[in-house]
Amino acid sequence: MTISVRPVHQESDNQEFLTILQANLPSLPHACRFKWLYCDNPDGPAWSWFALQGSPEQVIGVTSVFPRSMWIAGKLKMCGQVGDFAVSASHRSLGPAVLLQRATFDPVNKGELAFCYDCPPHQAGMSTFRRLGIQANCKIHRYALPVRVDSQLRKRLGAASVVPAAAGNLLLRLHRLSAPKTNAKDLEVSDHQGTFGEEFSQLDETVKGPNTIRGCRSAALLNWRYRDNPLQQYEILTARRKGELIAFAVLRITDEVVTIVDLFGTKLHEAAFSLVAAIVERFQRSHQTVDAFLSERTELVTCFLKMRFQLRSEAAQVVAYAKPQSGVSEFLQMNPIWSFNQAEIGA
Amino acid sequence: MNMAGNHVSIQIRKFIFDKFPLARKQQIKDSDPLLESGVLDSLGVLDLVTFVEQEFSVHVADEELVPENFQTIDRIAAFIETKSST
Repeated sequence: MTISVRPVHQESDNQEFLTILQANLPSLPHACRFKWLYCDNPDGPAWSWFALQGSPEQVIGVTSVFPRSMWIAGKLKMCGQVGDFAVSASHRSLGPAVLLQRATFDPVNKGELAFCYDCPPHQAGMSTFRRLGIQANCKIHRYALPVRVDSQLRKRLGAASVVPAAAGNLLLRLHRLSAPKTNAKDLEVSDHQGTFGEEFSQLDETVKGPNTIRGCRSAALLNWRYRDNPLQQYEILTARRKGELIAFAVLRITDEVVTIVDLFGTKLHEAAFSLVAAIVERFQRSHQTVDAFLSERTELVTCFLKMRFQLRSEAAQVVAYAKPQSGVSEFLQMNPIWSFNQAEIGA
Repeated sequence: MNMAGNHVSIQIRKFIFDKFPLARKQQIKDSDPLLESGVLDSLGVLDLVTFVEQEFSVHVADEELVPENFQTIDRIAAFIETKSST
């Protein structure tokens, strides 16, 4: 029976759209986040497609492309991130997924996007790209800095964990203290409350690498992503020199883990040390681990390893599609640096 | 199923049993569903399609990667027979 793919018209298809997402990606509250994610993005509304089969047609799969303004070799271009990719369990025979993946290339082939990218978190997610003959452009890894061992030892040893945990915490602290001290003394780190202002847009425009691809961090995008997000609250730290914004960090805090969702700015080799030192200082009594997601070949990887973070696992691969023979396609083939972290691979 | 079809089924079954431990564990029969049972995921289908294309010299189009053709060993064998005869 033939499979077809067509664009989703949210005015008439929304209920069916949310139903298939909820059935196949049940861990996310799709109705709660729909307006924010699909409609309110300052970069524009999302494109979505259904995969259909049978007569009458039955929706068997869905995917979307979310517009993302990106800095590509110092120029701001509109790109797209593939997300909410789902195929019904009975139809995971690769065909519907490949057809949906091809559909996400449409805005690129029409010239509406410079490229689109997907971030499969596991090898199974690479199957459609392997079928299409497309290779990953870069890998994102999870790094972790253990700051306490109480929780792990309590799970293993129960009440007998108190003394070993105290010793373990002390050893971890000594290990961190043995790291090179490179945080700049004239940087002032503080909480950032309220919305992101114009100074963040200015910072975004000053950080340009000729061989680098990264997401835009304008104030409008930061406010949408971190302040208007209906599902998640974030804490923001800024690093300033004589009042001037140099860098910032965005944190997602759960019971035991503090995740550095974003760390961005100028002079990152010194600002990162100051910001991470402040994060560790703040959370070393209440949390077990500080996590960060970093793409390979970026200066942040070197900084984090110096700060005693440990490479833990591969978190995702970035796979990009640009229109063949386009300037962007040629640039991607020159092996640029993908300066990505959780900000670029998350929603 | 004719002799050729039976031969195709045997090769498909051998490949699936060699490649996917869950098939051995569940002692999958030729009519048992491979997708719903979790024996094959999308990567598994990709490996199977590569095997089918190389072993039987057929080209499988993206549109043909549907459950109707890859749901069971029987269906895969029937699909290959149809492709080989066209």
